[in-house]
Amino acid sequence: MANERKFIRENAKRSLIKRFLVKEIEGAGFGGMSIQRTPIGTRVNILVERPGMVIGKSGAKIRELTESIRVKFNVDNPQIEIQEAGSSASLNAQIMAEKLAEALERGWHFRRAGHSTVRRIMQSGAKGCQVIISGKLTGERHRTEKFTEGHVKYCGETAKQMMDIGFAVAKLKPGVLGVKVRIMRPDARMPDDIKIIQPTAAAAPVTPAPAPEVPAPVVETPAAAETAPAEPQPADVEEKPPIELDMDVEKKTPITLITKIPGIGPSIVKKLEAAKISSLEELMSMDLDDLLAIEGIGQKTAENLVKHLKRLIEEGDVNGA
Amino acid sequence: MSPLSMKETLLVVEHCEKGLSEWLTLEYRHAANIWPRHTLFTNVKSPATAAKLRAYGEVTREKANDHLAGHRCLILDPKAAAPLTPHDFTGLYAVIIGGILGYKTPRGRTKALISDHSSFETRHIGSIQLTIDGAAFVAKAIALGMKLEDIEIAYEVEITHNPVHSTVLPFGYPVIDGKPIITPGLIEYLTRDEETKKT
Repeated sequence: MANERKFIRENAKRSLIKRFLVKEIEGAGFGGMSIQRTPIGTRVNILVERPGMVIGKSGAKIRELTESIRVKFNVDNPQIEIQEAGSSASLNAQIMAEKLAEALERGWHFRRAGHSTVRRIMQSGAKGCQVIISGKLTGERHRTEKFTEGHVKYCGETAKQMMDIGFAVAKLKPGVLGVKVRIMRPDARMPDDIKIIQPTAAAAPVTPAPAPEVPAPVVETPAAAETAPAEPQPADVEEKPPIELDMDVEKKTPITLITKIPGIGPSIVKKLEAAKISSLEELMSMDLDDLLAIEGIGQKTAENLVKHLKRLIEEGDVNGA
Repeated sequence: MSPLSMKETLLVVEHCEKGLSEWLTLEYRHAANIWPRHTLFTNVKSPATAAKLRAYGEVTREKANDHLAGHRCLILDPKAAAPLTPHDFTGLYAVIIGGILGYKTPRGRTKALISDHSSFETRHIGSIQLTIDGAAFVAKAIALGMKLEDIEIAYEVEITHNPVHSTVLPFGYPVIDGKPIITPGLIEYLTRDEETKKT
């Protein structure tokens, strides 16, 4: 009984730490966390989209977080490690849910935001996804809007293993909207997805026999694949090493640089800043549809920005901006 | 229940929302069509709202409790202890429903805004939260002699706009011949933005 109590206590603590981190690093794109006991203490791994916002200037923010976790949750010698979501951010349900909630708070229409999120997830290679936005969306009755594409599993072992689920809250004037994102990972393999491996030449008998038996094809099922010994992973898919705590704050190129683009003036900068876009990197992560959704940005301006942004960031690097 | 006594019963919709949104108008219109020439909208303070609602029934600025004082009335409140039965309509002057656009989890606003400030008796029409016109439909069906347990209610109706997008309405809708009675014009209203976006 004591063990069960311990599990419940530890899981409750884990949930409270997660809630605390979601609140504390709001805006950094929280993508999940895990807690590991090590011989020298407790390691808290946090996956975020923008590590600089968690680390802070000279690591001030992360030191503050470490201290808070130690004191508030009575965690033994906590060590926070930050991992950058990078290109996998679009396949992380929690990050996408947070992004969608931010977009709704910025004034995006829920249909546009929902369709845009589904499109982005599917373009990243997901096998399926579902975006659910619910609440008083237009200030009237409560309703739930669902955007679904590809395979989505809702329950059972398949859902547990293959679905990534994220939840966020958008706080708007008429009330609070709930945002839920379900993503089926690109590498997810259905239980009924059976691949028949044809016998290779090496497997055939060396000496020809008068009537050689055809070797039976090997049927590989997901379960069999799981039990098979793990093959060495190629270097390019290796997990990124966690970022060291003393790294520099995430680099940001000022948004004002876009005035170097012909046809883009300070008024456009103001409009982008009003939409809470403060760096060229953030602007770079947006596609044409995202830019068009910003109030005051037209088709020509959006195309112009997309065309010239990469060059500007490179110039920013050269100039040390 | 005789048809005559049913005819005499008035449907009273106590307007409890701040404005008159399109969705609310659609539900009011449908409720008024279910109880033709016997619909009264109470607690309508805004002259503009009153002008719009006169097209569907009578309108008054007063609350139902003041306007119908001295008459035998029933309030349809999900928090009521007793269910609505056909016998309740004998000699009943008015049945009052809340003009409220609810949340997924009911917040008991009918009780807070109407029942708690009224001397009228209360009745419920099931545990599922219904729309305004859905409540008017169920009340009329009971007035015509149906039992509450015989009325089928569909919950969480899903309206599919296209293969990707659908809308779920977390309210109860009465079912007739296997089809939920959705407010006329509501599906067009919910789909409109989608079509506008495509063009």
